[in-house]
Amino acid sequence: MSSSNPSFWDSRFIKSLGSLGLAALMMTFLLILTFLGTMDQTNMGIYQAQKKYFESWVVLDAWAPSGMPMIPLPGGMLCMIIFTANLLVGGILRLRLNKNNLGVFVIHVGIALMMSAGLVKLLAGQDGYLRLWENQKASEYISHHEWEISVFEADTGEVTEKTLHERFWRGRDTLTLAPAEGVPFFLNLEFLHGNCRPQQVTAGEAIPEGTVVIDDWYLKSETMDPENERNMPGLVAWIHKGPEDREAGREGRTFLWGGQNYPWAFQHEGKTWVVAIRKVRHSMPFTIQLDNFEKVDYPGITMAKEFRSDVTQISEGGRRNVRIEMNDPLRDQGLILFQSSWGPPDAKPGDELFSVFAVVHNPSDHWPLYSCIIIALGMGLAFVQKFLAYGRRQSKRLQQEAA
Amino acid sequence: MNIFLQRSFLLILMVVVSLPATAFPVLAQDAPASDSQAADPQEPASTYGESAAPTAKRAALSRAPWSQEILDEVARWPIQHGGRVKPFQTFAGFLMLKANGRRTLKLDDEKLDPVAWALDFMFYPEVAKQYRCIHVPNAEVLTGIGFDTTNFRRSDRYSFDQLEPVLPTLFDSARRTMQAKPESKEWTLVERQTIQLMQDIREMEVLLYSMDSARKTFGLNTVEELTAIFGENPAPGYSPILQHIDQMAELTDRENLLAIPEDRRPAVIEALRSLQEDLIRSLEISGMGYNWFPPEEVIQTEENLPVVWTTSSEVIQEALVMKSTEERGKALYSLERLPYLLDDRPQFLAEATNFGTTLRNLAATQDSGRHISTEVSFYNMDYFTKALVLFLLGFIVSCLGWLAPQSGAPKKLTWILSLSGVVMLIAGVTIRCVIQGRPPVTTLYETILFITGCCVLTAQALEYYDRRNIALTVSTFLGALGCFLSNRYELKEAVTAGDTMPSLVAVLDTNFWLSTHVTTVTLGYAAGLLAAAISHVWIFSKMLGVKKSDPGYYKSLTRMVYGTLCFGLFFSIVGTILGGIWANYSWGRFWGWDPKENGALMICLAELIILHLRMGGYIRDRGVHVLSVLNAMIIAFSWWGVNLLGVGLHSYGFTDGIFKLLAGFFALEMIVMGIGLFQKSGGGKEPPAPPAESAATG
Repeated sequence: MSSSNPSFWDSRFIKSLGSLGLAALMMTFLLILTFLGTMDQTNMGIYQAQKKYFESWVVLDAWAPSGMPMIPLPGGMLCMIIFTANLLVGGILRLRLNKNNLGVFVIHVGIALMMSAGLVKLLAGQDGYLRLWENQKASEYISHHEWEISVFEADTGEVTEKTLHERFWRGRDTLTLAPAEGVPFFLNLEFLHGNCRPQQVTAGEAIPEGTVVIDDWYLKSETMDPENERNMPGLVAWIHKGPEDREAGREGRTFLWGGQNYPWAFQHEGKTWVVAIRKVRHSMPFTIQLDNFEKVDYPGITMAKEFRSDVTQISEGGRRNVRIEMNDPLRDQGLILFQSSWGPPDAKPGDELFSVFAVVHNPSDHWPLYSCIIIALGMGLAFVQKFLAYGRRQSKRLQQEAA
Repeated sequence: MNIFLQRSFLLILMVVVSLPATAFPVLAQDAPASDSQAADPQEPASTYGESAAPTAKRAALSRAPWSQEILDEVARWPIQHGGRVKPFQTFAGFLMLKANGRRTLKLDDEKLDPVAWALDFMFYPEVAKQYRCIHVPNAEVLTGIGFDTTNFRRSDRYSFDQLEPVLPTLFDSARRTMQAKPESKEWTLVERQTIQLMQDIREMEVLLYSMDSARKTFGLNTVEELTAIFGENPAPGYSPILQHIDQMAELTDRENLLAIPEDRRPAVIEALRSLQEDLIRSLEISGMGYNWFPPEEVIQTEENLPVVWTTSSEVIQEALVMKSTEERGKALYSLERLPYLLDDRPQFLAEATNFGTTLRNLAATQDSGRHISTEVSFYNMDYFTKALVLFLLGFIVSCLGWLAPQSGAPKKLTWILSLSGVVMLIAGVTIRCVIQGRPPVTTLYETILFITGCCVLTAQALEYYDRRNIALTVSTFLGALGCFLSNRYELKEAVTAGDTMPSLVAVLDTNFWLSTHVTTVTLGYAAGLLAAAISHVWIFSKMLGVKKSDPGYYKSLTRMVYGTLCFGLFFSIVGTILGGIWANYSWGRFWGWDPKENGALMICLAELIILHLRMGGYIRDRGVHVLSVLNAMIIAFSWWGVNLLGVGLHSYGFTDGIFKLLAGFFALEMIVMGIGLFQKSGGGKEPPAPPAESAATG
């Protein structure tokens, strides 16, 4: 494309940024990262591998076969940013458009659109799940991976809760939250483990030094599970009114553990307060009620041929009946509900089943489809041109040979 | 046993007879008369007669070979198994392949095909128990269950009789493993093979004892009231009960039972109680048998949900609750006669035909089993073995043609053989599509066939333009290799899935996405592999100094590789993005870094890297060919390797036992890359690198 500032667009930096060599280098790094990230999934699962290889700036301890040294690599995020910049500069902005490279230009536009779809999803997207038994309804869905601390007063009829996302407390030694509107105390949080389970101290048990023990219980650290959904974080929490009773407040410490069934409830100034650790919850602009769930197996085997849910979508505008099934989700008001799975996994024939929906909010939902069409058109154009040229050359050669 | 039916069964027949003989505080309800009972077959007594027992006894000791007519007829018996309706030949073929490792069994004077083998198991069980048809390729499996493995050879086969003493240990060992490790990916090789052996034996046991109910004689003549219904010499099996179900209902009717003189009543009730116990026990065993019988009522299911076929046990139970079983009764009658017609083969054929025809007609009313005959002829034609032979011959002829380059005959013959091979391949794949009603790329086995066909067709198209005999030779080589691999992999799929046309998991059951995403991605695989094959020709030609004086030869090879890579890149990128769109519309995420997705991305990246490096002048011909070989390794990793990781959503593609093959392929390709990189130029000049484009593209 032509430029209004030739000196800038012809500068060495811009030329290098848009060069084929840099494109090949970044794609090579991405290729290596993809391979290593795939292999490492056997150790750490998809979620952790995704964070480590593809959403990182640098990878210091990449997977290597036993006996081979680990080589530091640029992370996937860094590579993708440079690659996208390279693509924009070299493949779109600096490309001198003519009929021969029109296809190449279109391909690059398509890839840029696809990359931007990924970026939008990463920055503005949300996802989670919704689990419903028949006749149960819900208006919020739960994150697959992210945790939060929730604080609310339990006595009032209308619960107004304060939440604190895990990015504020995960990995931090101690975090003290000052009183805020509606919360009249300091809340102290001390992160212990990413995955743990409560254990009672037994006689003669050697507990690691520094372990927090409360009422003969402690949170025993466990290795992170490759299936991230199975990891249960653990914290210690306590409250105090002001600086003067901070130490006294420590006496009332308690554990907050991801797997606990009941939240921590306590009295403060005559009111009952609740602090809970739970998966992040997102509100939906409507309520979903599961009316009927049906799973049909193939005859004679335990493989499901179909499973589908009949739901009622309840919103201010009214109610409507919708069927959600595999490859046919419910899309409305920026949310998409997919039929994901069912349970319980050990259910016997005739048992009641619950239905699980994957819930996604993705502003760039259809962009990949558009980009696919654009890329296919561009590639078709480019390769047909090359193929025709090849055919002409070959027929010329054959004519010469015949002559 | 179905609880509802069992209850109904008890209600109609059993409640009355289980009461004290002297008092009837609760009496049977009047059973409604059925207007649709089993057809009136010939008189059972004359059919079975007194010769029945000796015939069955003789069958236990010796066998006579089956005529081709009987084998052809039995091959077409429909059966619902593994989630679909298939011909008996397919069922028997895969059962034999699983157990025996091959589809034939050599006896002293006869070679058994799967149908003959299965018929022997059904009708000559004592003879079949001596067949050495159970392949256990690992001595550790046998040692683990206490079997003596002195002089063990991997190719050995064992008979049912040989293994019978250790079967309890085998079942116990398999059960303990499955309890301790519910996830199959946690099993060790020995544990997996032990469980497979257990499953094979279990399936063979079902076949072995499948005709037991037909041989069983129920107490239908123990009192004169029963004799009045069934005659002095009732036939064995369920058929007599089915034929006289109305009279049985009448006998157990309250008024009729009360009408029996008091001195006889206890004996009658005892006879009915004994019959009840015997029948329930037998029905429970038969309930684990084969689903031969399509239901007679036309079931209107929502959105073509599968119709469940019934076992002989369920037919009897439905008859007891007065459901229509007329046609199934006819079929059951024919089936139960077969063990007594072993010495009368024309009559055996007639009854086998009746059985098959009745079942097919019933299936037709449910709109299922439409492709039974097509599937039988598909397996009989053996398209892929024929294609293998044609490609192999084509490759040999083509190689001979290279020795006499002036002669046009070998090239013409290679064209004919290559085209014939691909026609066979396409015909086979197309018929599979027709049978399954879905695109031909739903299992790894099918992808081998599809990719082979695409490779051959693309190579032939290249040859059409290039005319140097290179792509044609490559087409025959890849065709033969692909057909050989598919043949080998069929056994693995038989072991893991029991069929190469298995039922699909719910998310894959969409023809739109299967025919767009999967076919385009596999087309990308095919093109990348074809490019790599041509690169092998370039590398070895250089090494051996072939056509040193013909630079056009090498230039032509590079052009073919470049063009094929472009072709492959198009399908890889479009296919990968379509996969993402499918995932987005099915699971709600475009990209999840799943191993299979990563594999597809790696292919796209590798091919893009080659094209960009070539375009930028960073590599020349050698670089293109070496990287093209590397691309083949990446394709193999994506196609097969990621399935070994046991991670991700593409669990339908998991497979076992190909690690060594894959490792061997990688080692070989590394050597080829090494040769390509480090050899001195043996022939042809390296063309100068193209100038880097001034306005570079990203």
